[in-house]
Amino acid sequence: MNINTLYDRLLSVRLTIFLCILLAIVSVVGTVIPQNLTAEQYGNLYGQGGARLVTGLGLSDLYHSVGFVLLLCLLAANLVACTSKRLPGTWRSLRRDASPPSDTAFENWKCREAFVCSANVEEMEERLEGVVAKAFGKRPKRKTVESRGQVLLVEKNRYARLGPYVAHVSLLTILLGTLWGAVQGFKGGLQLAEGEASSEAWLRTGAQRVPLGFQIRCDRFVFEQYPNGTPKEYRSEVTLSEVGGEKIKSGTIRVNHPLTYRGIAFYQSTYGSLPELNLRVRDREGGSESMVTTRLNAPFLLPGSQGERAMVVSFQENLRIPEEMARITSFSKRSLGPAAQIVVFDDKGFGEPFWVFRDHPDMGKKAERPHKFVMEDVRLMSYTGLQVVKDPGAPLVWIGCTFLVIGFLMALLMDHEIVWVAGEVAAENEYRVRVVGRAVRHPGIYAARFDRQKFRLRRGLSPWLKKPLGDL
Amino acid sequence: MAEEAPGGSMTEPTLIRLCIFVYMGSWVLYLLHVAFRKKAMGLAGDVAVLAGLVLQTLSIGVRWMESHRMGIGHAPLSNLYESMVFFAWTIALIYLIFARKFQNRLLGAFVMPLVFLALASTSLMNPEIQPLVPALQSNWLTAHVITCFLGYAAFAVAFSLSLLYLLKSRGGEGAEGFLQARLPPADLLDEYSYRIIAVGFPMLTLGIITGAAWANEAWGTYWSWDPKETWSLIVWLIYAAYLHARLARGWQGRRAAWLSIIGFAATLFCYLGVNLFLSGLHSYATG
Repeated sequence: MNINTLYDRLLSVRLTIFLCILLAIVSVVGTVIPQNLTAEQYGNLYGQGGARLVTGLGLSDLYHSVGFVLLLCLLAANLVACTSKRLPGTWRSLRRDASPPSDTAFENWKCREAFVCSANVEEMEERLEGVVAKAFGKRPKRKTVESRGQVLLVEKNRYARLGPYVAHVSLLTILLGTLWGAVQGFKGGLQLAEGEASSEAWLRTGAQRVPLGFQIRCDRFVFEQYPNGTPKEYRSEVTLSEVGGEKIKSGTIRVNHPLTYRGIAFYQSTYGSLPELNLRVRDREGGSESMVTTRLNAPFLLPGSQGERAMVVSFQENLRIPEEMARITSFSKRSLGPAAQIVVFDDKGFGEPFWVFRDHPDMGKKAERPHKFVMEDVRLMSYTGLQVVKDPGAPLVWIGCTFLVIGFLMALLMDHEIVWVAGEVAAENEYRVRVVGRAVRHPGIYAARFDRQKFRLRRGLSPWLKKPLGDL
Repeated sequence: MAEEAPGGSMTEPTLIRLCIFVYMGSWVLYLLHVAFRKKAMGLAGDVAVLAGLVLQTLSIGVRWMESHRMGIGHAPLSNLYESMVFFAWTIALIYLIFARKFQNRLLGAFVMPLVFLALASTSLMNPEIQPLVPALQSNWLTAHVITCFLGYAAFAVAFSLSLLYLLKSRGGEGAEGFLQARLPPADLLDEYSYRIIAVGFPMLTLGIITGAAWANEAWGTYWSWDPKETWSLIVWLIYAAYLHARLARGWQGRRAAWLSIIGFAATLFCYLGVNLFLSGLHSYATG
């Protein structure tokens, strides 16, 4: 296949139809197979082999897979090719009036009518233009046709021919906006306990942080319920300020009511509670002791050490021991109360996690470690979960959406109508008015409209009418 | 007045049950009209549909007012029960508007079962008026639901026309069975089916766009490949293929009719199947 035939294929509406159907079928697959699960979850659903197949074929994140994006790109290329090929011709024809009717048009077009009037020719030629203007709601243009001389032309909604182009360019604009947002923006999250502030958000993918350029503090989180218990409102009251500086403004974030500042929007997403732990840490060798207040996944310095760090990696409000475990251990109780899993990092950043229990301070292998951890107290802090989004592509998407609908209305519900009216002397004192019309895209639908138009024309001609030639 | 349930009005489900009977009555009248070729019966069928529509509009209004009386006022478009009632309402409305142009009441005999079956199915659903959860408290709710269901209803009527087309064209040009003799010419059925899709498609597009705008306001993302979103796109793609096939490649008749039928099947799955079989953001699955 050479380049030209390849280009012709790309131009074809057949490809458009094929791609639409193919995209529809492929999209179904992604709604049947749950998306973005872990390998383990797929294993439970489809077994080991099935899970490998799903992840191997990219079906676990189908809509972002190379194949799906390629299909979208192909559709975009098809749209660009079709538009750039056909638009110039359409544009040229838009700037000209309809080309003159052929000699036989007045006898051949499907929508046609003729009226016989008895009046003198001069009077009719003078009046016809006004009558046509009234019947069709638009002033006709005078055109000269070789075989007939003067004829009248009424063209309506010529610009409806641009509808498909408007729709297709809008669709491309939407795709472009999506792409721009994906490249230039980010989607992240942020968890803030009451009173806590942050100047960074966590990216949704990977454990990366992105600076906001300002600070956001959660002053209060409010959760209201209806009397029957269904949620009524989630509300975060926040204050924005410059990093380590002055206050910018206060605001509230509710579901459906985001807060936007410097192009970054905050959405109410989740809420919950986070533990805040008070740990007493004693250096066994030096004997020094100190209190540390810490949260999950927040590294802290160990007292009396040279930069040695520890971190709480997980927390259970009430750690339960599985039944099998309980049988082989000496615990009399199966639930152990609040428990924190702590890691002390070595100089390479590794360490083995161990459990510390609030209600059982001496449980576990303590003596081998240089530090002794005692959980004095734990407090559950309510926090608000915010979605943090920067999407500079969104305005393009909304502009595209608006014009997409306008384009569809132009293409599907409006049509370019062409009506020719010719007057001729049939016999002495007999003047014949012929009218033909057609619509460019929907000739079938136009027929009914033509019936109404010719009825109005007949009414306009009634003072001079002898008898209609055709049936009305 | 005595039996005022704590969860909502008792009047409204009763009115809806009455609507079912009125719409069934219109269906019977249309069938009689087709069987005996009596014009008066077709006309009586139209009047019955109009009566059902007025009654149903009234009952939707009653429900709306009731929600305000309970202090949780919102347009009755928020759960499966309310959406199904509205779906039936839009089909009846679009049918009635269209029936004025389309001078054949056999269409009514095909469309009305969709209306009263949709309404009858609400007896399986919870008719309680529920307060709006935070995600539904948005001005987009009304715009989104109305545009989507106008699109769905248009596709439903187009589907009925396509079925009629297949019936008419079965057995070729000359075949004249009982129903075929009572149907308008095949190309008219084909043309009207297209015209209704041409109205439904921009409506569906608006429905998807308002949904995206709403999602963007609620969650900060206008498209997340949620099964409901994806299925609305699938429906959109099928009808986009239909329009291209028709306008640019001259597909008409049987092939177009089948595409329209497949499109409506996808529409129904998008509306109901997604909630029954798949999980996602549209919460009325448990309604």
